[in-house]
Amino acid sequence: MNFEFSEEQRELQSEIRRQLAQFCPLDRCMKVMNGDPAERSNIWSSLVALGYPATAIEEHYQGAGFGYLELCLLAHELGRQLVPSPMMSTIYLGVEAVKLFGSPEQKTQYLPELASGDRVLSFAWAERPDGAAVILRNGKLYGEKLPVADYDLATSFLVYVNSDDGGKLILIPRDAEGLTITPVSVFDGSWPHAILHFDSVAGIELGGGAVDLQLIMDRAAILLAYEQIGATEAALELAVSYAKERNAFGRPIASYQAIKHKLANIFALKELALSHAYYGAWALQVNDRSLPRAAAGARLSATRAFEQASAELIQVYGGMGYTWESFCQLFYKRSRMQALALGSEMHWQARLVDGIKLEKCEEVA
Amino acid sequence: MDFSDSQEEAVFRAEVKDWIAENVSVFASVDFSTLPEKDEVALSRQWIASKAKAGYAAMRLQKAYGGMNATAMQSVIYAQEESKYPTPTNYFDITLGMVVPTLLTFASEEQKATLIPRVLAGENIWCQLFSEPSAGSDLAALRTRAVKDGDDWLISGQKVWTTRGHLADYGILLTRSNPELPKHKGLTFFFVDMTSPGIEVRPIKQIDGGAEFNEVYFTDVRIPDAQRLGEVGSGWQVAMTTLLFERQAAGEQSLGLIDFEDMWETFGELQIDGSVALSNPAVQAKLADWYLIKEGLRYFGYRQLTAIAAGITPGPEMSIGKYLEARGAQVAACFATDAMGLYGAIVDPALALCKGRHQSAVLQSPGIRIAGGTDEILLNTIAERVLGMPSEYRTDKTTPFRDL
Repeated sequence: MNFEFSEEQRELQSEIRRQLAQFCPLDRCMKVMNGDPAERSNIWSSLVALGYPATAIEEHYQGAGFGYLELCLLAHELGRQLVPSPMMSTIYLGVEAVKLFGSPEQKTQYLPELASGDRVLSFAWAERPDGAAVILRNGKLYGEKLPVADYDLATSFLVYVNSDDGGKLILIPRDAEGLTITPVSVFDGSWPHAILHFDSVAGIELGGGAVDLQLIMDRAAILLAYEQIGATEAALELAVSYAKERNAFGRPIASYQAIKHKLANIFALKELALSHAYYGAWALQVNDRSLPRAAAGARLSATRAFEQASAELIQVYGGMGYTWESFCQLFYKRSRMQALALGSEMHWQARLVDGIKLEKCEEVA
Repeated sequence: MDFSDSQEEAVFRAEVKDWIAENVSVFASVDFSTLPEKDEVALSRQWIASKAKAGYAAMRLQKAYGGMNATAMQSVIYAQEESKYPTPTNYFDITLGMVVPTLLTFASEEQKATLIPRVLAGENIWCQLFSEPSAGSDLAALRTRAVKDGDDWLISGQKVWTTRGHLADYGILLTRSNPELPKHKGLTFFFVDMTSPGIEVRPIKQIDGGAEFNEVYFTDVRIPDAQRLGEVGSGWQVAMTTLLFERQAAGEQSLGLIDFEDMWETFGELQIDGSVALSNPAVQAKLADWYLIKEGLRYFGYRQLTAIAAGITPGPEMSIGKYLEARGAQVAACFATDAMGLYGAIVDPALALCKGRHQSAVLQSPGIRIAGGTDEILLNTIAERVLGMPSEYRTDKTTPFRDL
């Protein structure tokens, strides 16, 4: 057993950290939060120029040919800077959906376009909680998906729909007839979302058979967990450094146990999440049969660590942390958004239990 | 990154598996949940001796001392395989995990050659005599006096929370040899024969009804200077080394309260309001919480093992393990008994689900949250030594001990 990334992988990670610190400091996330529409596409162009979207796409699809371990480390670094990009929609979900369910022809067409950044996918899966579902009738989509992340940069939408023949993913071009895109406000203003309205919209079905959405979510959950852990790490560093500077009652607040214990606890949660994420990265890389359990473990653990870290970051900063101009809001809002982005805690707790059951049944069989 | 066994590890695992399967058969008919302590101690002695013959009792020691010069990973593989069978409580855990490495570092060749084989033969159990009534978290506040008397030392004072003190043949002992110096500087470390005149061991009854620890009283106990470990006045450094060995047992530790399997098994058997507990969202949430801690710490341990294999000694970040697990076990065990309804109050292992392990954990976890570093001390350690936050405000670090 060797439960660590290789030296080459760590070097790649340092290189990415250096690149992102240089061109995407937190100010850029703040600019997006403040409503600068050009900033998202500028950032994405830079990520494309650095070759990030191509990371885990195979070379014969014009990708960089790295594996998931490298993609996980990239995600960790994107998380540290809260980089406002469509990586989750287009890479963690979109590319994985094409790899899992696309036909050979579709892979040959889409994967190179996704690697080069020419195709940006937005992944539409969520609906109103009252049961009003998008339907597929005579090959046309009707209804509403909301909220849908990364619509602003998407060249096409991958829409999940339940049909009589099981789940389907329908690829819809941005300019499709009958598609209306309406921006919608969400917690995190640095992560644009929209409502997609379908009125008899035709698209291309991904693959032919039934699509199991959860299999795509499992893979995306591990990658997103790395972003969440990267952000947790950055939030903890900010909190520690501020606590050392800020004085109250004649000494730095970092010298009070109330503050020390709060932050030490976050360190413990972060290490726990990172340990689950290591296992997830490995399970993703080798496509281990424990992937559903590994994904649920990584997602639940990372979500909790980031949630606590971002909430306590504001607490440590005090009143300043509650102001719009402070970076604290970026962490807090991103944390809640990522917690919802791939389904709730309750959903993943059930997925974890199902995953364990499944493995135990296989062991018996 | 590769989570599976390497080829060498797989070969080693197969060897170990065979040996264990063949040798644990003696325990097949034993019911450990009702076995009296003295019978279990006898079985533990027998098991250590039989493991020692094959090199498995203290695998990481060099062959000359009865080990097999194994890697940390190999000792984890052994522990994983052994844990699949019921075996007696290991009454040699402190002896092998902390005492033997301390002896190897600080004792004379002659002492090592005499003392270590007796441990591996299952003859000698050791205890650790560190804590005192007014020196727990603040260990360096200890008052047990060591006064030089010719070639010997005379020891007087009281130790407390001495695990297995009533079973121990020897102990490692931290004393104050010079109260004129500041608290950390006037300490000296010894080993002591527990049958020496002047030692009195009294059991302490715990809230779970057991009596694993003791008070140990010393009244003019004579210890030859040859039994001193480390220099006079450097007892604190020796004690810190002992505690480091505890940490190096990375990845091998479980607190022994409840496992994830215990929770899984319990909820698999249980019905809540007429339906299967495992499909109840509140149960799923608590089960997930306990999974995140237990399985996460297992992976955390594997990260440490990989570091050890690369020659890196695990640091104070190891403290997260006991902190998370002890608290988590208390919450998990309380929830498990809650889900059983009033039946969950029954502690009789013959009646209780999962042989009463949840009920035991409810009663034992408060102790585990204190033993070997309280939650608060562990959090201080992480904050100060990992996150670089300021140390606690101390008034007593430079003052001579007698003036405190």
